[in-house]
Amino acid sequence: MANTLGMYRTVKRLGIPDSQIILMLADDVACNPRNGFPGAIYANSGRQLDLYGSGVDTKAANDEEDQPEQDEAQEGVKGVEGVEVDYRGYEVNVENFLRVLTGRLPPHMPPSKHLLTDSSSNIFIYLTGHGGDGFLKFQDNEEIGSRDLGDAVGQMWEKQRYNKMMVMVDTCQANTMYQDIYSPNVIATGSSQLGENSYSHHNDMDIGVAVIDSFTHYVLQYLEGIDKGSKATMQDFVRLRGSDQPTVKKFLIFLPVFFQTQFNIYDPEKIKSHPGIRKDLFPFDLQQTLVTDFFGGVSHVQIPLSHGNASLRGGVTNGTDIWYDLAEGEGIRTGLPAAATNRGERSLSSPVSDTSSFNGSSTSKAHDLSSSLTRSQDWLVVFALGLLFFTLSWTTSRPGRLSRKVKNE
Amino acid sequence: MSPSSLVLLLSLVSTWLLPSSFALPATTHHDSYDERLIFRPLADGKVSILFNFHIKASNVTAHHSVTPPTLTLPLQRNGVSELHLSFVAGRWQHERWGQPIHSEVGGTGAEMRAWIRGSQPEEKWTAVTNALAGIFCSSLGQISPAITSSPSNIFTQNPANQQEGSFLHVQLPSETLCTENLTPFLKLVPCKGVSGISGLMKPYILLAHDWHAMGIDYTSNEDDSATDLLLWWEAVVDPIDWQKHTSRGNSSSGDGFRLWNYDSELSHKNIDFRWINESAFVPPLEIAAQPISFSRILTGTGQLEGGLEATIRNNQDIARTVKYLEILPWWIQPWLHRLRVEEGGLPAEECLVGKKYIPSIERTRPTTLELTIAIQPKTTVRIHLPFNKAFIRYTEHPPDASRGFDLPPAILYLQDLADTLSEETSSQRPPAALWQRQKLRIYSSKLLLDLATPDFSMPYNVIIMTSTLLALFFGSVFNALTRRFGVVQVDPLQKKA
Repeated sequence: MANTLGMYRTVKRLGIPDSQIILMLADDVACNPRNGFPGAIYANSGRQLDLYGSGVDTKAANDEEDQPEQDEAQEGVKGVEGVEVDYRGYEVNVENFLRVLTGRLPPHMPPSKHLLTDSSSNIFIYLTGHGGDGFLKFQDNEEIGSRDLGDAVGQMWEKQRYNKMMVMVDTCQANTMYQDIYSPNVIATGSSQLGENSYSHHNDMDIGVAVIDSFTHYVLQYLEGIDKGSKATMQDFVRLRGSDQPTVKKFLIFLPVFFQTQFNIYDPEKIKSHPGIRKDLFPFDLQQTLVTDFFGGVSHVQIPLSHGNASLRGGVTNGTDIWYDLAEGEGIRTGLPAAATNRGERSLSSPVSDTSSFNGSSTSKAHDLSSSLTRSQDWLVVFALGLLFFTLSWTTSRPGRLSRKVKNE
Repeated sequence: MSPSSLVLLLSLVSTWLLPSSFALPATTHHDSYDERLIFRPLADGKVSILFNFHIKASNVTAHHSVTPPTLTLPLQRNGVSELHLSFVAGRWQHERWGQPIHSEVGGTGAEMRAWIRGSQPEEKWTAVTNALAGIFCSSLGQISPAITSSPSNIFTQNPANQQEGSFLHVQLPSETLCTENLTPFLKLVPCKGVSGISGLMKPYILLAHDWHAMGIDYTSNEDDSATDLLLWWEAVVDPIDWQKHTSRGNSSSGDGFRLWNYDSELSHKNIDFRWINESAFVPPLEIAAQPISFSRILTGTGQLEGGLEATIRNNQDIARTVKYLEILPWWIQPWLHRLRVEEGGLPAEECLVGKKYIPSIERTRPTTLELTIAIQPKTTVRIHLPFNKAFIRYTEHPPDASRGFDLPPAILYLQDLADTLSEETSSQRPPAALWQRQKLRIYSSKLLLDLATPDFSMPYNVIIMTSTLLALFFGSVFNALTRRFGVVQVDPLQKKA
């Protein structure tokens, strides 16, 4: 539960709005009467950060002496307040999960329960719970197999529902979960290899449960260090992808300090399992792929003034620019002809932007802005980051079950 | 309703009328928004608080200055003339607390009822429930015809807004109320939880105590030109705890109590507010009985039969007439011929004045049982209703099947009170504010019923057992058919060698 909510908070902090996050939580842990901290879920026994709702650093708020620190904490959590669970309780089941992925939902389903993505969206799927060799349990009742997931992703690719996808699994034997994905542009990572358990990071003795799993803990720790404008690449993120290779292990023994400081996310010593990464389906260079492509909603809005030469530019990161043409009194113009007249000037004033694709899209005149954004993929890669979470969480409300020093599945 | 149900209106934070010139100059558009925070001390020292956000808008289709379009648009599209939705978490202790402040608070879980204009009300109902499920992050999308009923005697339309239409009602007892419902709620409020009293609505204040409820009341006239929307959140808090929590909320939000302006000299000092002649609260040894008390329990053992026993006590000196309403899911099959009504332990069929019964249809319709009961002064009436538990399909069990099934709360409707009220309304009494209205319904707590739960590993056992038997059978038959049994001549010479 805290795994998922920690991830939820992080991507929200990195700019993905609630409307683009599908959060599935099988259990009402926060408001369960057995929760000693009503309405709150913590990912740390120190209980500094409530992941459920308030997003307020309660420790800092209580320390009235540390006034400046408290303000800083407040700064950090703006926009993270509140939580919107899209699927909860019995709605979290294999059928609904596959329906969300493939977009085969019944009519009347509200937009918040739809994965409204297209071929220009990047999707991040995070799954956590009890797993095993090639499956993940839902509600302690049914399972999703790795082939089901692979086929669902395959269908999504055929339906052009994603541009790039990242699948992250934190279960026991998690690496078996992504082995049957066969569609392109998918990068997958898991917390532990076949025959290996994933361990929790630590227990909160006051509640009597383990609060977060190791793998997720270190991933979140890393993500905490980056912000929306970060240029960190996936290469940095999955640095220790070869961790299951013996050479690296040997290396580890000799240079533990070096590893501690450099490659701490995917460090099997710390995680207590061997995280895996699968990138054979991913044709892009990891050094060119930003971490925020999956974990953040970065949209650089550029507002060129249509009747003048001046153009306001946001920072240019590779391909995440969106252009709005604002004409006075007209709001956002949907047709492109007027903008096309300014193109030359604009490309001059912005040498970084990809002019060739500009020319390409300006030849086809009157299609509307959004479709032109979608088509000119050379320069516009990410707009909406569809983000999908699933968690299987029979966990925190059942103390006996969660204190999984060893996951048995 | 006891006269001691004193409602303290502590703060009337902001009321404004948008000037008509701001909207369309030619027409008289009066959009109004009014927010209130109401405190009511309860007999046992706890405090009931009600946040009330009242929006009145005319011609909402033109501009959504104060109405939330995400909420009103799906309701308008589906021709909803009146809608009440409430989510309740925890158990309301009727004996100690009396009735909630707000008049439309339902029973534990979610309750939704709507009057829908026009044809095909079921389809519109599905559309509305799904839309609201999306807005409030709830499981209202699970509402199906199998749990929807229409007890129109118990729930009456707003007298000021009588329209032709179908009435639909549903209770979802398993629904919870938590931060994920508060977040979208605050988004619907015009001040978005940033300023005004909605700024005080922090999850760790509202959710920290025994009971909290949230809901909306919506009415609109026939052409949707006038909409009345009330968003409310009611909670029972412990004042001692609450003080602690608000101080936390105040320091963390920074704008909690901007209502009081005090001198800068006073900052960093402990300040204490007191009423004049305020006395310390002494917890009462005995809490005065409610005019009518109502409770319901499950009886019986085993997984085949069971019974419902409702106890209604009239603590007043006058005879009362009430309606007892049970809406039971189809998997409970009540035996109406064994229905017993007792008064003081003796059968008293004369108490049962009226009976209305709509039997269930498997997987399509719930049972609706409505009993009109006359109770003599200072007496207790017990209603005993035996039932059979249905065997449901293997796949119909929820993932946590052994937990049991939630039975929705029963409703007691104070018929005589409703009659006098409607008479008064007809004599042009000024309409009371929603929280001052008489509460006509008392909800019992929800119940947890054990149905016969299969051993879920059984199919696998059966499969394994059957396969083993089949393999044994097939093997021996195959052997018998294909092998040829005969005498083998062994050469005696070879035997020797």
